[in-house]
Amino acid sequence: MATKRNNGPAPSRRDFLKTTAAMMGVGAAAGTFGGISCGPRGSAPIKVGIMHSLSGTMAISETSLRDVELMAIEEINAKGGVLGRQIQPIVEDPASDWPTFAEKSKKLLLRDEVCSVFGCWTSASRKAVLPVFEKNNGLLWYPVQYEGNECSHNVFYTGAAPNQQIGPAVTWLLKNRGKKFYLLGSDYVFPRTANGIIKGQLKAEGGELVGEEYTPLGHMEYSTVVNKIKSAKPEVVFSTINGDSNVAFYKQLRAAGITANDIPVMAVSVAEDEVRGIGGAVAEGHYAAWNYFQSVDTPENKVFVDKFRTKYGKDRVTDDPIEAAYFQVHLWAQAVAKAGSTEVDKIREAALGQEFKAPEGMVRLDPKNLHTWKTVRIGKIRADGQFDVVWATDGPVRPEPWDKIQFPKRDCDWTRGGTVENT
Amino acid sequence: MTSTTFLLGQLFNGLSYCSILLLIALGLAITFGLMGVINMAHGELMMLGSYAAYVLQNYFAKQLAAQYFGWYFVLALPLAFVVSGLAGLLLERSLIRRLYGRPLETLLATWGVSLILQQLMRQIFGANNVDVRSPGWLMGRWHVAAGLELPHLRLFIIAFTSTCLFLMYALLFRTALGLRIRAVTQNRDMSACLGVPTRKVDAYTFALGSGLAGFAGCILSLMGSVGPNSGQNYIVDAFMVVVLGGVGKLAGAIAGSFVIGQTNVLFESFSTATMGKVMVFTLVILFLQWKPSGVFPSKVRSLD
Amino acid sequence: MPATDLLTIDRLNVYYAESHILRDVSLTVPEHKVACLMGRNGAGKTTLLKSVMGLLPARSGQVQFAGENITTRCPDERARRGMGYVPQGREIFPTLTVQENLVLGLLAAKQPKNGIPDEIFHLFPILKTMLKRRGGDLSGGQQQQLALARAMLSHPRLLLLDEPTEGIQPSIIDEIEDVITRIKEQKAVSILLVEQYLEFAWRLADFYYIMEKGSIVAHGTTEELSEEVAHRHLAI
Repeated sequence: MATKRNNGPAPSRRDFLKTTAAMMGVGAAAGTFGGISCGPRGSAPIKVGIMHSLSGTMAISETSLRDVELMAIEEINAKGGVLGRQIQPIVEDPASDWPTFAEKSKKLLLRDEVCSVFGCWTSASRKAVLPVFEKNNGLLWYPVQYEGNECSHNVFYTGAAPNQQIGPAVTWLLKNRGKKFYLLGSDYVFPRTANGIIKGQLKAEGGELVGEEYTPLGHMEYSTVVNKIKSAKPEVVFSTINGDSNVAFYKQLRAAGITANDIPVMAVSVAEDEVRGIGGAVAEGHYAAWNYFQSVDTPENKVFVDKFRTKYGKDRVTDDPIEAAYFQVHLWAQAVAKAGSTEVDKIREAALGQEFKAPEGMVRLDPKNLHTWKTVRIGKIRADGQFDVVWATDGPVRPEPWDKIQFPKRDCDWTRGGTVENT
Repeated sequence: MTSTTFLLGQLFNGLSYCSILLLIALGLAITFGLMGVINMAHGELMMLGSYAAYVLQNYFAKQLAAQYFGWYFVLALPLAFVVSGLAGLLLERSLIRRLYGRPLETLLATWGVSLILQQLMRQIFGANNVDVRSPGWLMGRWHVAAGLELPHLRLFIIAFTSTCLFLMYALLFRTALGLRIRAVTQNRDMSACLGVPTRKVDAYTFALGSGLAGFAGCILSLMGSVGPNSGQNYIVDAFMVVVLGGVGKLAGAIAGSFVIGQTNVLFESFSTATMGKVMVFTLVILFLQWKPSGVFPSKVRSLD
Repeated sequence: MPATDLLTIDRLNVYYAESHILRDVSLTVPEHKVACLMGRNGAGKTTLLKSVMGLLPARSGQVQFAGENITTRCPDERARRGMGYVPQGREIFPTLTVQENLVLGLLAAKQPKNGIPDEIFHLFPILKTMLKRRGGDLSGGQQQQLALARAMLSHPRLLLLDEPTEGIQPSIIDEIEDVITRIKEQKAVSILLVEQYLEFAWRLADFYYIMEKGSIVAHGTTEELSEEVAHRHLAI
């Protein structure tokens, strides 16, 4: 997801104090500078970085990722840590500011010498830190679905690639809800890239495009858009709207008398957290495509949801990025254990092909492209704000970082040196 | 749907958008337009109004029988006015009155207040958006012709804004308080010399403008998001309307919202939402180059 | 003289920032009398009037009005205790109508219900024809009459007039003089008048005060004011 979600789980009082301390520069960075190296040295703790915005506009979304990553580290430490050593998280707050993300990355990699960083949400922040991780050979674990077309040796992508969310959703709609598509998105890189993929797919799979519209981020007046949709008479609306605008769109669509029975909306940026702000009554019957829903029925998920809500509050919900942030820490720990070392190159080598029974089901790090094999699901919004899973792939789907329509021959394969053109 | 019904629908949407903009700007037309206070926390005063609706809705849902639920919104409006008005009163008494005539300090101080209010709401209600439901009687539509249905919600907003406007005019031009408000905003010292308790009038005026922000927040909770940040979504529009219309005149806010609302919807009809917004901004900038004091400049003959 | 003093200023010191404007000024205005404050430009006359009205704070000294110490009172409190003020620039509310300007005077007297009494239009007939006009559209002389009428409508016990003849054509000066004379004859109001126009002051005032560099340098009854004193302090 390439921009902010203007809502998210409530930070606790402790978060607030921590955030405030960070903003005041009193020192959000836990731990000491220098001293312990990341290399294998007896029983000293293994240092990892956690780098999510805890203040500023993105705090709303990213704070939960910090919470769940700390929870995962606690779990691992409770079982004795990795290689007999405890894991010591170093939490940094880049404050929703992209240059600060780069600065904090440098600090974590060079001064704290952490062997992995769990971090970022927006594509903008990921793009800002990418050169830092590549230059210093660090490892970033990135838990949010994104627009694809990236192939880095220093990032493990644990959220969905476009083919693991958007593609299957389009195919499912064409089969089950109709051929006439109206594409609606916020006006920035992710929706435009996503809609490029969708249009290619519609052409290939026999769909029809009846309208395409982009609204500025934070757009609140959807009467004209709704009127255009009424005029265009689509069978489905595919929405890549992001942030607060979602609330305005669904409410005004409903006020204009269009229900999910008339024209269903399929969204890729509306998860449990967003539905809470829209209201289940308004959003009921519309769809979203993700790899994980809180309602996913696996034993692992039951334990995960209970644990998260016991730790952070009964009113909290889990959703796709939160779940990815959780399991990526476990994947990392397995890799370190297998590598028997905390050296970056060895961790990377060991991580490839790692599997973990995550709340969403089995996930696996692709041995070639550093993305994650994930199950794709389509959920239908219920009145209580949770999702009924109406369709899912049989098992994890192989991630394809490069968009097959724009770049039919391109592949990301680190066994062959990274981005390659197939002939 | 034919293109005629599309156009008729757009005409109505334009009117609806104008009324929303006017509602957003009305409070600011008082506090910024008349009093000259650059209140960056205006959006947060709106947000307080939205949360007032949310709290009352929850109270109704929990404490009262379901058949009364639809009435919550009728009470939410005055509650929002009072909550935001009192917050405005407190803000004026504690902070703004010390900063009259110092726009930069006011801007910074109220910006700080806006951050504090956002964080306060985050502490109380959480960082999530909350869900404010429309009462049943606002969910219907007026069926005008095939393909042309006017949502009750939007009709209600038009009627409500018109009523607010009428009451504002009556208050400002038909009551002693209104006369005093206009006198103080024009010449504070001379008003005082005529026995007008200027500090009280300042406080009442600011509270009135803040209360109107509460109205706007309450109504917009049915149209958009309600969260700690949602006030930020409207602040730019509000200032744009007041500046375009001409600072210091209620008629300016009307003209400003009408021009921005209609042109925005018109442009958006034939291009996209983003292009519509870009064109409106361009138009506003060009217009202000040509007439820097807006549609209705406050022309005051310099007194000799 | 048996008359009690309505306004008593006792060793008043006023500063603008750090510059000392009024130095130990003492002055009294008895009930129903007219005192005229004279002096060259920059002597501190307007400052004194503003201080009496409460627009400028006193650093030391006292202002007593009708037996009450009002030194720290706000202008609006002073106005409600019976001070009417016609400032130098007239300070008409430019976008309010003539009528609204007058009603503000009435509001100060807390009698808005009765409407604007007709007597005021006997004094200022021109205003009656202009009720709907905006204050800012009136000529200088008309604004002066409006300011005077507005102050009168607040039923003051003390009227503070700051150069009512300044920049006004002679015919209107006569009218204004007539009005002030009639106010004086009604023996209900005391007046503190700032005036540079000597003849005018001479005809209207019972007492005179002459200021120079922020201090009162001469005072007495107008009958005692000799050509010689006037010339020494007031000639340019």
